[in-house]
Amino acid sequence: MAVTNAWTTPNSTATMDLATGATVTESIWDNLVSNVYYIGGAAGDLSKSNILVNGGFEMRQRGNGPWTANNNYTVDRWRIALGGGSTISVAPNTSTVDTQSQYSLGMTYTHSSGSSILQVVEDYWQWRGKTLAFSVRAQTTQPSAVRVRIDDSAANGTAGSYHTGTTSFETLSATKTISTAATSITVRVLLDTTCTPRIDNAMLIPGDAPHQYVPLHPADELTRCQRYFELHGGVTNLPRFEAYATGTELHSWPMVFATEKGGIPTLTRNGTWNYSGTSSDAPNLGYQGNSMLYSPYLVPTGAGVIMCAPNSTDDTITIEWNP
Amino acid sequence: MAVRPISFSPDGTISIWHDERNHGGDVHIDLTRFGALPDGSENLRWLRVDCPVVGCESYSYHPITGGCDRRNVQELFVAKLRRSPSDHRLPYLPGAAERSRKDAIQAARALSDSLAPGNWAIDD
Repeated sequence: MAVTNAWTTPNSTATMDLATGATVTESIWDNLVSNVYYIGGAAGDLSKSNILVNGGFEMRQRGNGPWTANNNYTVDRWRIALGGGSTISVAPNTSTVDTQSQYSLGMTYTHSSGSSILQVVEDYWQWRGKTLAFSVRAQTTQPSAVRVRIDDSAANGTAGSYHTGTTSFETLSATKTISTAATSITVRVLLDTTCTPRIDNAMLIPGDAPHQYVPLHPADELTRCQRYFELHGGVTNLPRFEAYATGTELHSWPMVFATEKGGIPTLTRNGTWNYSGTSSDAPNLGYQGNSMLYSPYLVPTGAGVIMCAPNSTDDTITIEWNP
Repeated sequence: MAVRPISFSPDGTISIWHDERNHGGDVHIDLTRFGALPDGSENLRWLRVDCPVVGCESYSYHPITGGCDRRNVQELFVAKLRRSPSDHRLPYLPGAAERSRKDAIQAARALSDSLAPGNWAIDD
């Protein structure tokens, strides 16, 4: 077997012929691997999967905000951690985005004490003892305002370098070796002074160097997001619960989640629904449920048609489970 | 997220925040209600919290395992079970003894027998 003109650039016309039964030595393999590219990457980068959910900030099941309260979720999986006395307004942004992105996460932040936008990693146990690298593309005109960090239950990590305060998107990164006894992993975009940043294209991978953002197909990304949150209703008459009652016996039916949750979720009925033949708090959700479905029910006030349905976009049932 | 508890006072007052409407207020733990079983009796594994804002009419049912906010929802159940002294179906009576925090946590853990190890966020 001979290796000639090993690949050095994408679309190279160089070839490598391997005869049947040929042996690939370590030096040949190293030469091959060191010259494998992925689209838009650098030599030596093999494409990796993102540990984060909604790293591109594209999924927005909760709508377009703005969100302002401490512990509020914003776009899927990203949550506000507001320091005492600080204020923030968070909303998806379409005008200032990273390359090949539709949405960034925009913030107007007034600082009093340290705050962050964070994501909790569910499967912390799989990363115990491993080194993780976290990166985010960020834009802000305020220097020394925005940087990133990985924390686990044992200790906070070391924050990376600040954004320099130019008008350009810069890659902010940090690494941490996760404690072998960790019971949580959290990645944070730290806000250390008053600023109006935009963040985009976050990536968390095993390794000691940041990795270019690799997007998932939108269908796959939505499925991942719906493991934690999904929304039913919000459309007039959808879903519509209707039955004929012969008495006051309880009427229930199963509603299957789009995606199985990581645990039994909280069920929330929002808004004032249309109803007849039943009570004003219909549909009632306190019957039973698990990680795969729930059972709304109606209690008739008497014999006859019973019904409830949303009558506006803010009449919803939200399903939420967080690790 | 939900209509969820965010802080607890010793007198049974709970601060509630309703994420979807960006508003909240205080309710007393005695105003929360357990869910229902098929026979109409109480389902102690679900607790309903109504939004305290007048006119909102929204509510959340939280599972005893934690749901949207493991620590605070588990604290909610502990607070509820403490206020149900000898029989959880009895209304709270002024002067009646409360369950200890430790006993309430043990009761909550017994009710959530499917909870995976390591998922309790609160200590005895």
